[in-house]
Amino acid sequence: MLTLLSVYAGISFGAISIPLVEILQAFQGNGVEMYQTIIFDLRLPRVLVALLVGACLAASGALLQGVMKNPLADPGIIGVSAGGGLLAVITMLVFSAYSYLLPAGAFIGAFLTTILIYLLAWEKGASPVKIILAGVAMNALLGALMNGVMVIYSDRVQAVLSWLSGGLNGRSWYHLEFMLPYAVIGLLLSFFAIKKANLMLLGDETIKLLGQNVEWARLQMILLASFLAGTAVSVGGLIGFVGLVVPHMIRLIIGEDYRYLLPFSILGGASLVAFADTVARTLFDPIELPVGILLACIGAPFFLYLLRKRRVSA
Amino acid sequence: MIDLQQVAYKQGNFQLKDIHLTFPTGQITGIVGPNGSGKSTLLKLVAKLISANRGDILINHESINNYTRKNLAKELAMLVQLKEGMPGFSVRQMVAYGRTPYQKMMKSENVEDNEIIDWAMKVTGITHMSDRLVQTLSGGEQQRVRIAMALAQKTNILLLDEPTTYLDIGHQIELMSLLKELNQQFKMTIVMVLHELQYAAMYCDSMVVLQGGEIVATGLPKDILNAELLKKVYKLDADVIFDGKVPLIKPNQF
Repeated sequence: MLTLLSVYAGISFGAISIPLVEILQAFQGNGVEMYQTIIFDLRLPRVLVALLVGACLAASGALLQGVMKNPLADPGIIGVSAGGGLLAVITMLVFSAYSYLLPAGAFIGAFLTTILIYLLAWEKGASPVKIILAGVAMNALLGALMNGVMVIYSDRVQAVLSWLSGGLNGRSWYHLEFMLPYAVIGLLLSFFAIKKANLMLLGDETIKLLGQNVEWARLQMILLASFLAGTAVSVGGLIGFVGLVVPHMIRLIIGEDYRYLLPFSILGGASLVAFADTVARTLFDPIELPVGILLACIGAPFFLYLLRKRRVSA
Repeated sequence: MIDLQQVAYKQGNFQLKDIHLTFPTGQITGIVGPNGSGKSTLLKLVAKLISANRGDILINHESINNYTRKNLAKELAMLVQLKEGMPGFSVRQMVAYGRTPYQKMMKSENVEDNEIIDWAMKVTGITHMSDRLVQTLSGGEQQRVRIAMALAQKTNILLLDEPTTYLDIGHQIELMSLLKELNQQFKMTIVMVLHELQYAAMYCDSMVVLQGGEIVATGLPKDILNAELLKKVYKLDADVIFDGKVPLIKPNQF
């Protein structure tokens, strides 16, 4: 419901507002031509990209919070942002002729970093704490490298900045087509991980006693989470807080059972990003805010509020 | 039957030395000893949560190294010490996870699974709270849910690591009586780590006393639980008087 509403808002509002009747007519193929163009060439693909980005980020965050047994886990900490960011920045600055490779670059960077962090954390099995620590350290290192590259190529840095702050400006059918297969595969696989995610909540020893290979399950879920986040980052840039805040909110409302938590997080994340992007697009019209900035502005205070509320109730 | 043959385990300063021991089928064995004597470690070795440096552990004459995790989970269930809070699942769902060793990852419970889940909940007396969230239950009720989950694994062997911790005396006795009943009705082999010597004597067929990673005594509670043992193992000066199966431990200085 909320998701549908955010789709409608995303299509309707903007520099030129389009009433609902016109939208419906456009979808039937007999609307005003200008509206047709705006809807199908600009707004619809952008809203769809926003939905997918949000869904992937939220699913990724929900899975990670289960695996790490840490409510603060977020795609950011497993190196997705830093790894994806570094490779994306290198693609944009050093090989600027090949900028169409940017999504692929971000994706590969995210994936490699995740595997590297997992290997670094490995010592007779990788405990969640070690993974988080390795992630934090890698994030710092990769962030520094990223800044280094940006300083060296400071004459071309403009395009990078918008990507880094997580904007969906100019996202089109091309981007949608790029991420759609990955997003669909990732989201489908995440439904296969529901039972594993629930078992994780019972504790490592109990999972082993139930005959499961806990290390293998954990690795599978982390790879899946990084795959999802990498998919989102590759097209959406560095959009933070969705993976952290959305599963949290859903957990407060419907509990931590992943049979409900995961699907609702996916819907919630999709709605949030699509809605926030519409707001970011129209708020300071004609200047478009990158949606990542807006989400951080909403997300950070909201997160602090959650922390305080929990402390009071605990 | 569980056989430990010359089992040794070392981690840091702590070690279990040359443990040679049998837990007979259909009996309740209690493992007691001071803090840090290796009681929990011994249980974890049997459950393959950690692996021995030396020696072998046999379940039904077959080394546990030859069991896959899944197959072991069909022979042996264990209640680990409760460290973290319970997850936000309903009672029935929690018990249902005991069926995991028998299920494919994506399949949900079949008729047989559901019958076993119903049975496990009935035996432990939690059927009426089936839909409640485990988090909202009292400590005694949560312990019964965890036992039901272990029972749903349909194993012949049940290991328990300090099952009475955090329970008041009423719930402690209730829990121990439930375990005795499971042992007698379903011929389950039960091995548990206990802190309370009284319960070990009252409910166990035999006792194993550990100290500093070594076995210092094994046998019938009545034969080994005495003033001499308390002095040697717990550095406690006390008399032990048995009233039937129930021991009264009377400290001479307090």
